[in-house]
Amino acid sequence: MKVENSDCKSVVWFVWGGLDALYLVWYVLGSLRHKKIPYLTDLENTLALLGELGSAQVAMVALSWVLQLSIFVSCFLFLTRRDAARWVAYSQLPLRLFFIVPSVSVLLVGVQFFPGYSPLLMIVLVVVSEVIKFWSLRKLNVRHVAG
Amino acid sequence: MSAFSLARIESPFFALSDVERSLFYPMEIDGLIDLISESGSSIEQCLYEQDKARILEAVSRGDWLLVTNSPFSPLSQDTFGIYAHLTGKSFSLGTPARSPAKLTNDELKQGEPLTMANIMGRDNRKASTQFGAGKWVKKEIDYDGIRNTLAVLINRSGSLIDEGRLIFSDGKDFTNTTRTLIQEWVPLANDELSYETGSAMHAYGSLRRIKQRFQESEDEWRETGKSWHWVPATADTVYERRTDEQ
Repeated sequence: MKVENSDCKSVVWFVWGGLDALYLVWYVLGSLRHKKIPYLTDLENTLALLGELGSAQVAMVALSWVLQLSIFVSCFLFLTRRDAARWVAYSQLPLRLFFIVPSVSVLLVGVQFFPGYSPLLMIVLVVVSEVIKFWSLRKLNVRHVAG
Repeated sequence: MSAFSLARIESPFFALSDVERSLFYPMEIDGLIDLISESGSSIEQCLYEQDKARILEAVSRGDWLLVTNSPFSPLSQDTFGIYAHLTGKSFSLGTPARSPAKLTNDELKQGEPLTMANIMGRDNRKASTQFGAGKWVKKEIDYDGIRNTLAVLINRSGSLIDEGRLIFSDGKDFTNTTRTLIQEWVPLANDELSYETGSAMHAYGSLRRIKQRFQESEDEWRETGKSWHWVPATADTVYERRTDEQ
């Protein structure tokens, strides 16, 4: 039971880590394609806007960067099969829902090919993807304890 | 034309919100259409930010007063003399109904008070120290936090297609967020006294509210000719020039 569970966990951890990696690589490539320095150019642009924003929006900006950094962390933890990845993923969940950054990052890649996409459908898909992620991580955790 | 007690006149500060709300239903307050018209606007256009700002400024200045049977903060209770330039005398206003009243020259003759010339003409030290040349300076910016958060999230749902950029790295992520710039009329500094002769006259401490929206608009300083900024663009310090009416 423990062996099966461990295999299952490896696959799930690899899938979520791989999707995080896809998100990061997709962003970096897109950024380079637009002749930008990934993260640095966006950080510069964001900082230039901060002076125009109220405190609620500044807090949102800060949280969005926390999410970006946490995706690096979760990608590393998932791919190295660390248990801590689960907790990072749980804490990401509200931010992913709030900023519409799906864990199933193929959604973000896919939407590029559908310029007339429905925002409402995307929101539904993001919610579904986060439910699946939470369920898969939670289920493995329960099995591990039971085994 | 009947005279009204100060107890029935709403302080300009609280009248502002009543008048602003009633701009959606201009028939709600007698005389509001006249105020809109005199401010160079119309019923159809009075909700545009610049028009609304002009209308509300007339109320803020006390050029137009709100007469009501149940004022929240009547001028009679102006114990700190914030509106001393208005409460110095009794005066005749509008109709008995709830109505913004314009102080015209005729009314001044009957009820005696309330234009700048009248006040300044009297040897009234109190009034002259409260009212005069000055400038508008930024006092506060009130961001519409909850509404703006919703606007940002709606913008986000439409920008998923943007390739290779993070959320909040472009002004368009904040499109249609709003804020209210609050400016206060303060005396000119010593090195600005040369502006005094051409300056508009307002009560010191009076506030004006300018509703602004974050938009991509014309900007001659940029190569692209456009930039993201708060519209209408308003400097932190504004020297308002006197008009003929004043």
